[in-house]
Amino acid sequence: MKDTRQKKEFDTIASTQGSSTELLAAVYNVQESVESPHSTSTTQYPLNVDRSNETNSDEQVQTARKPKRTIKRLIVKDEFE
Amino acid sequence: MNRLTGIINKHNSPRVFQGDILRDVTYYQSVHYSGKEVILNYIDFPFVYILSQDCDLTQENDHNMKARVDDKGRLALNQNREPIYEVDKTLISVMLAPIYNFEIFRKGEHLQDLYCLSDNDKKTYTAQKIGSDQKKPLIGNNNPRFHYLQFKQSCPIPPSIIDFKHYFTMSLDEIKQLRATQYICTVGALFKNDISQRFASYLSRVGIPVIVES
Repeated sequence: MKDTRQKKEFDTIASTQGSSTELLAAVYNVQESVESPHSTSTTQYPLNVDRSNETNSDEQVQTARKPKRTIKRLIVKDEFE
Repeated sequence: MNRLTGIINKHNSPRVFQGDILRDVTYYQSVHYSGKEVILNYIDFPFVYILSQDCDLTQENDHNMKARVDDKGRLALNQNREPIYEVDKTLISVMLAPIYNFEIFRKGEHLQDLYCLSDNDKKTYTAQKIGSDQKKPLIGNNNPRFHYLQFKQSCPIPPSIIDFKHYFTMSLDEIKQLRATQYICTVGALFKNDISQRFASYLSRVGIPVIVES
């Protein structure tokens, strides 16, 4: 039997490639530099993305995605101690 | 031969298990501080597999940072009358491996977005394409570097592949926090042992140089 999950994934690639994620930066008082195309918040720990308000639906899991690297430059308002 | 990755469990334990599969994990490859700038270099992995030994994870969970008690069950105290904590089982990090979508992997496109950083970058970043003659050995797990995963139709994860060469580590605290929201399922016992053994074998391989006779 043909695995229909694969087909579904490729259908959804285009719609997911541009999705942005909110970065929770683990540094105090950071402000994003102008050259960065993303948005950030100044929330502290954890450094990873907070997805506690998302649902883990099958559709989300099935979406075919590739690992994606991002380089983000943040401007620190205050010096680190 | 049945290639299904066996029984997929979903446990409710708050601790991390070997064989757990998590989704949407952000791995910070480097964090540099220069002047008034912090440069974050990170990778978003759609799926990751927990490789660390389960006995280590169990002991860390069961024994680490527990206050010592004496034979009579009383709290042991140091000379300052403070508790004595056992930290012998502490884990600093957890070993993980990325899980790649098999169809994207076959096309050699699974690493493309690791190097293409902007829409203006028109270069092509490709991995080796997998021809039809190479597909069967991969699915049969005859290539030591990779482990093919195929789940039942009822499982929402499509056919995928683990690349042992791309293993990485993350702090246990980070993984514990992620697990609460990003956990999908755990690979069945027999199958995760197979993955563990194959990973250990791959990691301990001996690189043999090619000897060219002059």
